[in-house]
Amino acid sequence: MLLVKKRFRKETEARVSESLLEKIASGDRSAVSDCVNRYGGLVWSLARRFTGSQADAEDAVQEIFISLWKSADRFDSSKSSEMTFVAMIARRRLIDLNRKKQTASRAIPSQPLDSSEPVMVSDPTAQVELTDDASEALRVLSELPSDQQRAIKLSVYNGLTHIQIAEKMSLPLGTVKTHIRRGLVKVREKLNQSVIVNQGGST
Amino acid sequence: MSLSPSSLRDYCDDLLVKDAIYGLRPTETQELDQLLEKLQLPQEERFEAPVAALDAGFAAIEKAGDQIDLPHSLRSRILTEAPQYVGYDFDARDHEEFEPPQSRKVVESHRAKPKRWNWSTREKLLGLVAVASLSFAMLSVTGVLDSKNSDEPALKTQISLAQEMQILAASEGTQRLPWSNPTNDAAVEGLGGEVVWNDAEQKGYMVLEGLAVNDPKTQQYQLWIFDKARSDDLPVDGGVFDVTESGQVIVPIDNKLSITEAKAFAVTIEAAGGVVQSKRERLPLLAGEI
Repeated sequence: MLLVKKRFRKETEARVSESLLEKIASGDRSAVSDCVNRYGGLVWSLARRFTGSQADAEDAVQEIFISLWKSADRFDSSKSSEMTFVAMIARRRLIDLNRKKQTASRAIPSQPLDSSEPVMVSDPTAQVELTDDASEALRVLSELPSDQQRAIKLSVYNGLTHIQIAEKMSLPLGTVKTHIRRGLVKVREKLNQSVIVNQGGST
Repeated sequence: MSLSPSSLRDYCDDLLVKDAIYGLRPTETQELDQLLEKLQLPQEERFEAPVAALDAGFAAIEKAGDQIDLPHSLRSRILTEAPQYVGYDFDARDHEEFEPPQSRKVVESHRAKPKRWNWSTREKLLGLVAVASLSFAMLSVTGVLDSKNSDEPALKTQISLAQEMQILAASEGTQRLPWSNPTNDAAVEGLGGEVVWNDAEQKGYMVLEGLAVNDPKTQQYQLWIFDKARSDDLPVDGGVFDVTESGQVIVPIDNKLSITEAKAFAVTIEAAGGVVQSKRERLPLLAGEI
């Protein structure tokens, strides 16, 4: 019998995310605070990127967690990592909130990732718990041609529109769209990469 | 005008990308629904998961570099209102058990020993992610000076530096040379680290451990690359750099000239700004043989 098994979602995911959302969906109350502890930073980071003020970011985070509680039973570990699921819920909610506010564009983060200053990590215990999905996505991104990397970063991280990116990169709009699409296709391909495992079959 | 199947797919992907990153207008949503029905794309062909995975990665980088944590008061509000939505109560312990994260500023640096792997092709792929993540979490990293592309480098965060270095380390022809302290220079306080270099790619990294923090106003470190195709008297300038933090540091090598076959790397201490030719009065680190 053949099973299709995700390649990049094993030990780390099992260790980092013991399916807190499934626990929440089944009524495990301790999982609620664990979930906030585990994903609060991720949601906070996204909310800060999408909103223009601390107050808006805090409101957004509250709404995101409400969405998360409501959709906890929709989480399917065979389709994505829990962290990715949380990020998907968060981004979708933030897009909706922004639309409601008729916000023309998102605030630029105070410290964009493309700063020439490197990131300081002074504390070895400040473990960055990246799931395999996130780590793999970053790795693929780092291997893309620089224009694709930059276009994706400006859109996904900085929240610039395609037109803004075209102006910033001095590229035609169509080229920007192509860069983003091709780059994300690569990321998607890697994340969807599957290994055929012959379970119980001959070698 | 009708689009070819591939152009139609690209157009559909553009809409899916836009949906995942920015959201769509109602008319675009309608158009996308029609396209999806026509193309019969499975869920895996959407872009929400890759974008979300990148979001999670970016957030982790931010968290590491910027110490972003959920404000305590906000966390309490979330937990207070959670019972309305999750269908059960939880007591005050859930609020009290949380302690705000301690400051990460006052901590000693980690001195991780560089690991050496026997990379098979399969292991290379499977291990890369874990290695990169591990390297990132373990490293206390600092600045890159004298960069060739200081004009908005592409994702030049230290996480990508660690990843890039591991990718290079896994490449064919890459040499990894451990540092020595041939002159017992006092600037070395606990020897460690190595040079990772690939002639074909003209690319390399220094992993430095135990090299003393320097005052860039007076003295700076400078790397020299000894090329088999050149005289040892004229090593190639590998760039000036500073050590601003104790612990382990990754510095990309900035070779000013093309290297034919690197055989050794030396770090000297020079006056601020570096020199064209070193007198080698202080040579705290050497990797390889000259």
